[in-house]
Amino acid sequence: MLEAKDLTKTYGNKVAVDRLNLTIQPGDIFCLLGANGAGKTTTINLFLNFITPTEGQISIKGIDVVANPLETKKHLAYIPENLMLYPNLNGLENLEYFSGLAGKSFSRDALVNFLLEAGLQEDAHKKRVSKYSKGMRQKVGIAIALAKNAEVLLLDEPTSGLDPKASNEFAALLQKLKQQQVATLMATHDLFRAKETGTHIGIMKEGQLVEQLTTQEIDHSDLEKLYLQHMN
Amino acid sequence: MKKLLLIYKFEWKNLIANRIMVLIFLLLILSGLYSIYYGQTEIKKQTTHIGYLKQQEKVRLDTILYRMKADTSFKANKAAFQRAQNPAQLNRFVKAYAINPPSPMASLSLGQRDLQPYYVRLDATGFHQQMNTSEIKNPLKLFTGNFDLAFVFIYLFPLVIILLTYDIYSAEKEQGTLPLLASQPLKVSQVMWIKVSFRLLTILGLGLLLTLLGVVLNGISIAHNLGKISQWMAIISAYTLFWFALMYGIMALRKSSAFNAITGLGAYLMFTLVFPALLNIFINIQAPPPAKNEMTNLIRTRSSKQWGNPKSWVFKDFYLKYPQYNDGDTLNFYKWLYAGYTITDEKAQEVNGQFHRQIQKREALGKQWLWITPAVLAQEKLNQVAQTGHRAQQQYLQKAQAFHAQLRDFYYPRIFKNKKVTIEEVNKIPRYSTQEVKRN
Amino acid sequence: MFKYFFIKELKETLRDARFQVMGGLVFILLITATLVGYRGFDQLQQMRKQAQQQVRQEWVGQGNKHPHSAAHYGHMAFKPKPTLSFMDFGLDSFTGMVVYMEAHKQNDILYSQAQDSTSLIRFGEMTIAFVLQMLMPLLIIFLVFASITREREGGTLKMMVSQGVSTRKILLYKISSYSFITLLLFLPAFLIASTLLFRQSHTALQTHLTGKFFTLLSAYWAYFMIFIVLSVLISAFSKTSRMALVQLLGVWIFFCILMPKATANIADNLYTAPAKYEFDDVIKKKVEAGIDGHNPSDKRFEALKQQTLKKYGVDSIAKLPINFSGLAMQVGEEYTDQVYDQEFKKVQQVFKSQNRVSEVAGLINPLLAIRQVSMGLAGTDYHHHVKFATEAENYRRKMVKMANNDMMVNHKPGIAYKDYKVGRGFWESLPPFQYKMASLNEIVQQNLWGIAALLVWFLGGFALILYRSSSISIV
Repeated sequence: MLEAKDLTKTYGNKVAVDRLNLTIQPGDIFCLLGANGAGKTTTINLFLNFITPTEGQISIKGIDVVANPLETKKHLAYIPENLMLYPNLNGLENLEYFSGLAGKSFSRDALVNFLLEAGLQEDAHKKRVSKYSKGMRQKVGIAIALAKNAEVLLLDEPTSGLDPKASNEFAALLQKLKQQQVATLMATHDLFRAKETGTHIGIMKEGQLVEQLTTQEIDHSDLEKLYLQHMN
Repeated sequence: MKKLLLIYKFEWKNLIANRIMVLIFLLLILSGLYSIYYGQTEIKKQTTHIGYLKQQEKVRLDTILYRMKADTSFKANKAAFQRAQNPAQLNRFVKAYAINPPSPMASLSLGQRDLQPYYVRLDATGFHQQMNTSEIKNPLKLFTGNFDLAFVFIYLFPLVIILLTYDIYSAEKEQGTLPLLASQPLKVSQVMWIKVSFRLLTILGLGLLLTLLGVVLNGISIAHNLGKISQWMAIISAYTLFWFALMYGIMALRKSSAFNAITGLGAYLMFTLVFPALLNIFINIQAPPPAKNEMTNLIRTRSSKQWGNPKSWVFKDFYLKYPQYNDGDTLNFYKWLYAGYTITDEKAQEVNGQFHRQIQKREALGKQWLWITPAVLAQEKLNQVAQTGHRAQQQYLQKAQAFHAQLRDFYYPRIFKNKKVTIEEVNKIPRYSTQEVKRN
Repeated sequence: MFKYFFIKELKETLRDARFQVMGGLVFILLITATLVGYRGFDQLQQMRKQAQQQVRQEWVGQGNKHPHSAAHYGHMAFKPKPTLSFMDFGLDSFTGMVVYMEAHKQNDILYSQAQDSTSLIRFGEMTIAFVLQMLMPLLIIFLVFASITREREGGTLKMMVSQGVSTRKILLYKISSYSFITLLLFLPAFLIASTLLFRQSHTALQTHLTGKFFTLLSAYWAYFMIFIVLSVLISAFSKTSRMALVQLLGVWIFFCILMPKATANIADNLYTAPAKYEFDDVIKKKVEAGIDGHNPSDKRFEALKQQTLKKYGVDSIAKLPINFSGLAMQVGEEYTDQVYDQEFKKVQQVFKSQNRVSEVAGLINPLLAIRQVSMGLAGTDYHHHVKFATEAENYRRKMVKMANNDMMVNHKPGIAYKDYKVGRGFWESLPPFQYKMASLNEIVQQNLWGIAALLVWFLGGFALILYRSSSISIV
């Protein structure tokens, strides 16, 4: 579903992503761990073609991302780390707008359902986003992803700054999408969530994927040990 | 005090390190220098013309003297001699220029000098008739106005002030340095004050620098014009202070940088563009400019009647008013001509009085409302200092008219008493005295 | 897809308090400018029209007199206010409004409004053109400066691109949304203007009124588009909203405050026009000594005399079948006209060269381009002033020639000057002074630089969008 081959991105003589090889199958939740600046966000941005790779191949559903950026975007949904949305519009309008851009049009009820499914209380739907908390904005982002009915989900630290309850709800949603055979790539700092929700874990350091394993292979304390080992 | 100097030092370093700000200051200084150069060229053009005209005046008087001294046994010389002696013909030949020389500070604020006549060729015939000329000017140039030092102060300084102050507080907030600042043992408002005062001093210093450059490069004597120069500085300082106060007020609302910039610029737009334009409309509706074509019509109608009627038509009115000139002569061509000029001029004077009252009404309205736009207020004051405003022009025209009366007093008794002008009297022909302030 | 985009932009903008305040302000100013501009125009137009009619009546009713006396009494031409001039006063306040036309000499066009105003008038006049040229770009800048940067800062740009919208499309959508919002702001004023315009019955002096009006409309639309495209581009290539705002404000200051003045002043220093007294001196000298300086007026007179005597085969003026004074005056008049034409052409050439500097500078500054085009279409530019001066002068020549010819043919020798008279019928044979505005075609030709500059900006902006949009940073 998602595939990177010898993926490299350099800025001048600084290497952001270094010969990264990665394959994610439908139903996988791949959690990228690593310190700030390890190259996690860059990897996600490369899948989105926000930036072009210096070397290597990158594809979604077998379609080359660099050659067909718009085609690949039909199959993916993305939630950035700090999604601000349009503060002067309400949640419903934001959702309608973004799904409209993706070429979908839904009835009002359907849109409301997506928001509800994402966990946003109904009384918040018609409030301007400028009044939303971070968690509420994130839920609109999830609703946008749900509405797109994508096969690939790219998440950039989606749970950072969320309270534990919201974080838990989010994890449940990911599980649900996993059942629908969605392939998920998620950058995160949350080792606990990665172990609980993820199917695979990769640890990045200075642009390199230094460790790659399935969550069944390892328990939580070993994961933390492994992580810290790489960081020091 | 120590803190003050510390912050000043820090601010100075900040300013120097900011490439855009340095560029803006350089641009401002360059604009200032160009404006000084431009003002100088404009005024130089005018003084060159004035010099030439004065020389022409002298050449003509010398010609008269030469003709009066020439050997009249030659036929050609004799005719010229007779023409020179005849007061009516002499009047037409001599002509004098009533000149409004630029004041020492004129090149710094050109004001209305490009719009208004600064020289008028006058003789003893009708005054208003001779005023009906206009200078050759490119209307597009008049429309766009002058790039003089006053323009730099009035239009460009506020922009730089807005740019310098809009984010004093908000930038700290947006960069996240505000909490750090607030945790220090001094009041945030105090720091802001010091920062504002630093910028104020910088701008005032720049204003002083540009003014001094203008004074020095234009060769204006500081000793002779100390009063004017200090008035000038007072005006631009007050104007600068106004903008700082305004920006401080906006800052005090503690909104975002974008809000401050937009509000500041909005105020700039209102004060320099919108309010003046609205005020102009208001004045035009309350007191429209006089329909001066009445003057042309009056003069042509009078002249047509004079030529179409018997000579007595003019003399009747004239002798009644000026019995001192009445010697019973109702046939003399020159007497008839000059009597007609006077009568027409008196009628024209009445019409002109109406115009003048209307213009004064406009001026009074302007004065009453000018406070709503400090930009125009400052411009008017600077024009006053430079003596290039509407008022100075009115005074000049009055002086020109008084001079015309002198000319009339010289020629009329000689024309109507049939007196020849002698060579001794040539030096008594009135010359326009400008009482020019010395330009050193 | 565009529908969603457009609705969102519209909602966002209309709900933005800053836009509400500024847009409202510009809207009110625009309506005010339209109404007061029209009022001012109407006042002046009525006044001048009445004055022109009065002068005509005075001419026709001047009674019986010698035709040459009538030529001295003369006529006056009032510069009519062109119908579209209420939208753009242009140079009208700085040019004279009436010219006295009499025998033997050309007079100056006198009494500009600016001469009777304080320095207030130098700050600009409240017309539609003023609002649209100076204030509208600023409103556009405020509206658009954060259009891309804010999306980037808020992560929504990433979201949009991840939804499969290309950056080029985003820019083009933004531009079309903003152009619609701008249109919303200025269309009502134009509607009012057009009602005021086409309600008028006396549009005789204006040719191609509809064409000019809509050309004006599209020129302004192009001008706004230029600013919208420019603002979107700068926003797209700026790192932060603040940087974009500062850069755009710099552009506005340069375009609208600094450069117009600088170009006009530099042009004035580049090409020097003569002072009035120099001009008069040259005319006098050339009339007296001949255009080439070797053909003095008395020699010309003598030659004409000999030639005429020879033509009619007589030996003295008294025996001529025509009135020689009438002929001599007409010939003299025509010689003077030649001199005037030559010298006026020179002055006009100087001014046109000066104005050309501003016109060419339109390629650097779209304000200069639109200003020129707008004044041209409104009929208040320098070309129209020259046209008026020329037509008034032609009328003067017609009047003088008519008088001289009549004198030459009908005023038989031996009859005293005061005894030869003509009357109303003769005065009426001079048609009333009528000034025709330039046609749309002429205006377009006179303003090719301005139109070209607008086009270059317009197309250049879109070309930049098309070719550079892919290099916009999304993250």
